[in-house]
Amino acid sequence: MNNFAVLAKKEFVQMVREFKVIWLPLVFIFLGITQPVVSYYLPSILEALGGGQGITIDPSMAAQKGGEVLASTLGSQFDQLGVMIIIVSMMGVVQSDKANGMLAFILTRPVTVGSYISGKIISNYLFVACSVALGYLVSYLYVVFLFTSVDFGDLIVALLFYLLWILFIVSFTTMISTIFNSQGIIALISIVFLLGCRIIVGLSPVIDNVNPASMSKHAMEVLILGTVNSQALWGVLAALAWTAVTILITNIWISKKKFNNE
Amino acid sequence: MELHYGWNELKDIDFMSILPIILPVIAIGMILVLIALIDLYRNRKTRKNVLLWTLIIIFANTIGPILYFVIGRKDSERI
Amino acid sequence: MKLEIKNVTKKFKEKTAVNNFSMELQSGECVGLIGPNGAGKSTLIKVIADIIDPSTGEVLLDGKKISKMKKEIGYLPQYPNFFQWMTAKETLTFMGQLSGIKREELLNGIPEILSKVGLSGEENSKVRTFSGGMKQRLGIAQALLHKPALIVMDEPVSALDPIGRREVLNIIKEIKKDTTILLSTHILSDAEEICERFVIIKSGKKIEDTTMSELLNRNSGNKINVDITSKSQKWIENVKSLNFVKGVEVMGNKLKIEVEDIESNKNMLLANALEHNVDLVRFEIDNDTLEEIFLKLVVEK
Repeated sequence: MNNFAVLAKKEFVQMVREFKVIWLPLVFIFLGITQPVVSYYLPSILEALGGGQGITIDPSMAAQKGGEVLASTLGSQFDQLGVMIIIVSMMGVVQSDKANGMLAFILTRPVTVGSYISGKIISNYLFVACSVALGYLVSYLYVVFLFTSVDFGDLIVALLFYLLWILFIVSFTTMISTIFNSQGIIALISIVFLLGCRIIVGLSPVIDNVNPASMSKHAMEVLILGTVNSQALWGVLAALAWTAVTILITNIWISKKKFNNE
Repeated sequence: MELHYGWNELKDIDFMSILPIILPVIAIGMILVLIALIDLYRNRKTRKNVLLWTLIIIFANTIGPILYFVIGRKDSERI
Repeated sequence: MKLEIKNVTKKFKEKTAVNNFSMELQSGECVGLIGPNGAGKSTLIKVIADIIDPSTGEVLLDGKKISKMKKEIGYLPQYPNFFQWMTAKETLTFMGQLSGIKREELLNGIPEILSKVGLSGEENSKVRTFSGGMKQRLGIAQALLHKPALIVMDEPVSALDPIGRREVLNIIKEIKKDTTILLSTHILSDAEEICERFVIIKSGKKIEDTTMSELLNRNSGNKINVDITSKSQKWIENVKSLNFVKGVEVMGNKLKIEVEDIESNKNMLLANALEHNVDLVRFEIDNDTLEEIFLKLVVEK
């Protein structure tokens, strides 16, 4: 086995030992179910609660299409609580190795920085991506059951867009985890920055073209409109470029051994 | 009271039709609680604030177990 | 195998931790790096293990940069902190695979190395449950596993209790028979016990590079300690009148006799004592202990 495989395998074993392999997918399934169920029952609950008080209910609420509900699973569940949970579950990814000296220790072995980082990012990304995809598919099943069906092609295209955004989240959190030493700071910076990216989506088309968070918007558009935005290609390239930049910074940071200069 | 009236009205919704939809949500919550408690019990000797975490896991639904997995799994001391 | 440390300097922001340090290490040697706390021992060890880069200078192993020769180095950190959730066997498998050892070799090598460090029966226990001494022994096991030419140890016994210390020292004595060892410590008796050669470092500078016997010889004065019983007290006056005796200090029944030349005079003094039928309890050349020499070197220079 080469070093990358050894390090990636260690990550997976650690996920199993720490039960992460169970709870992260479950959390995303939970988030995935929440949106369709709440959307479905909210009108009747509101009606029942507010019937005597004269609150008017937007009739469009009751007539949502499946694609719209699935889009709001991504936009309001995954993009908020979901992203935060990914960040918090990954904040120690490099930081804990730095804190207990294992990073320096591993690097005294004939291990390249590249295989260390790729072992971390690829294993964690595969796992997070599977969790998100699982939550998304369960959400899809609920949507089909409670609302209307969603075109299968659109479903996959939207998922691919969304997973690109997840890739950037994973690599960015890894970078911050490499640079900073306190888990609280790492979580804070990552959450503020990544949710900030997500919030400014839609303000200006120019910013959207270089904003990796616009991947989430494109995913939602595919689900709602059934067509891919013509600007999406730029967003894809930007997201890939930003991911490459974060990995490069991580690599330089570890190679320069900045992590253990007091 | 309006609220009281409202809850009565809510009972009109057919709970049997909701059940298959709500059940997985409850099941997932239960599994998370269960795993968190098992892990806490297994490592009860090396963890701090065991009682506090038990309460958080049981009473803070869904969020409690997640909180535990993310920040509660630190050992009290490194020997 | 030959390790060369050439003019290594390591500066942290304002502080210079290691200052223009050079030394060479030949195959089969066991070298103790001794210095007070904060002398730059750990920094130097980390530079040798390629954990931090020196500001200037270089470390060469067989003429090649140390970063290209990682397979030939086994490193034991001061506080080996492995992954708490791994078992001893998994830790060794993990570290071994990172060093490029094949699976089949590990299968045989791990039980062998575990019995060597006395952890036989613990291969499936979690590192979380290990005591400090056990972790240190596991650390030695992982440093030995890939059969490196050089083992570098940073304070291998300083943090251990007397029992753990004894266990680890015995293992190091065992392994130095077939490996080159460089270890740092601030506990002199440990270094005295294991190593023949000492390098004393102070404020990042090398102030002494010598062997045990040389150090002791160089620092011995021309003095002889003699303990006698009280019935032979009158011999003292006799001693004072001997022509090669330069001075006598008397503390009860203990005499410290300074002579002109220790080599020739010590037997003459003994003969004189026997002649006078002195009741001798102790007769020895007055050596400074390593600790006294160390204090002298570190404090004075």
